[in-house]
Amino acid sequence: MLMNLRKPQRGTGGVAGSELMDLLSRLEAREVDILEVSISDIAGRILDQAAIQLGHDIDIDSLSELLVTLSELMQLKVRKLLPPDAPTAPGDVSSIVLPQNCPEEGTGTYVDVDGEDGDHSEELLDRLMQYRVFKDAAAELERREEIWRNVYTRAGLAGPGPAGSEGMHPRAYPQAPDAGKGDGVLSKDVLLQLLDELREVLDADPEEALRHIPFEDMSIEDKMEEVMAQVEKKGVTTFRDLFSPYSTRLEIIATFLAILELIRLMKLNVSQEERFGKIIISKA
Amino acid sequence: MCVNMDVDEARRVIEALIFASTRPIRAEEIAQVIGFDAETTTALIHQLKSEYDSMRRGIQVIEVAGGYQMATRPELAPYIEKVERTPKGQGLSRAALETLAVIAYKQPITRGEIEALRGVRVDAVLATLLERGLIREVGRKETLGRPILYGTTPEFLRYFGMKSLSELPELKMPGRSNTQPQSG
Repeated sequence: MLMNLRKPQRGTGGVAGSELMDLLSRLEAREVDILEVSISDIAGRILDQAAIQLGHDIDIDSLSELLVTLSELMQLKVRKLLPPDAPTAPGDVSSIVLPQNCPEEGTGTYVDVDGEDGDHSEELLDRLMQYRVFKDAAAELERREEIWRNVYTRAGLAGPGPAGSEGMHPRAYPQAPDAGKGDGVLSKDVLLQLLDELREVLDADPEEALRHIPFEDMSIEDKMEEVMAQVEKKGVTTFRDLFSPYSTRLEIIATFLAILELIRLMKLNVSQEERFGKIIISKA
Repeated sequence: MCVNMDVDEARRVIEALIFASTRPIRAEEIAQVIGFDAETTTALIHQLKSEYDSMRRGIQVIEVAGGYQMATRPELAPYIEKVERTPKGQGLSRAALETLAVIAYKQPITRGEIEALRGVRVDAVLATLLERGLIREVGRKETLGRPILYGTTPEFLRYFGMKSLSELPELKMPGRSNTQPQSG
């Protein structure tokens, strides 16, 4: 007897997905036999749903996982159907002995395989069960995510620290004055702002007018010393002021890399007076 | 720093410390500042938490990732989003959530072990989770090829509003003993 499966509704992983999870529970509870399940029916329904969703927000990951699970169910079913002494060599069909009353899909009695194959079936079923359990766990995480995505904290712009001890909630409410917490790590926002300012410095580069690029020999280490000397002299300065208006392009890049390195080494602090304000550099 | 403060003063300091901290601040850190023992400090923090709750303030004191933090209430999110210019990040995909669930319960775990459990490749998902700081490399498995072991981060706890991994719901493994999340 075929299982009376529900009609498909919305969602790739939705109804067909929950139907599959439901089926796994019933298989585990031995309320239903794998031989009573029409895998092609379920696969058809999942694919029908996917077809309906084409052009919309289709979740390929979920869809492919459902199909993988289905193929494993199919493997489970095949193992139940085949006799335990099935030939192992591909193409060798001479030794196949069909069990008596070999059942067609969803009908008849099944061959209860013992020994290695039986163990393998158990293993497969076990894996499928674990898969279902983690699906449930993921649903719980999703529920928590939905709540906590709507909770804003006062986390600063500083990203997670090296040990993950410092940082922001992904959807935290950014606070401008704490742009850099001196942990040597810049958040994406501050980094983007730095790049914006760098672009402005480069755009204002007088070298644009030059027709040749002279060979320059400079090291990041030298620039780091220069930048530190400037910051120590001025106390607090802006990112822009660390670039000489007469710098060449190469010098600008070297200075920028030197600043990044000094931030990483926690020798410089980065802050902003207001959100999207000027980047302020001070000695850490 | 005054270490001989009275309880009223300590309450005010606790509130200020939790407010000023941009990360969950631990009770021990607060205790050190106010000079009270950890137990009394925790009691005072919980008192403050209850006050915020009973007064139905827009702010709450949350216990997350082993510390305390001030946070807005979820139902007020639509108002905050009206002035907040940073777009709210995308939630995790179903595949990412499932991979994360496997890592959370089975950590430390290798990519191969996750794939064996999920039946699909997870490299792209792992990259996303690493990028979002929800998982990290925690070592190498001493086996052939020394594959990388993955585990969850404190950011994982913050993201899902958990105090510790022990808050993960017990896995309902049919027919066998339930899996407890490992501490970490």
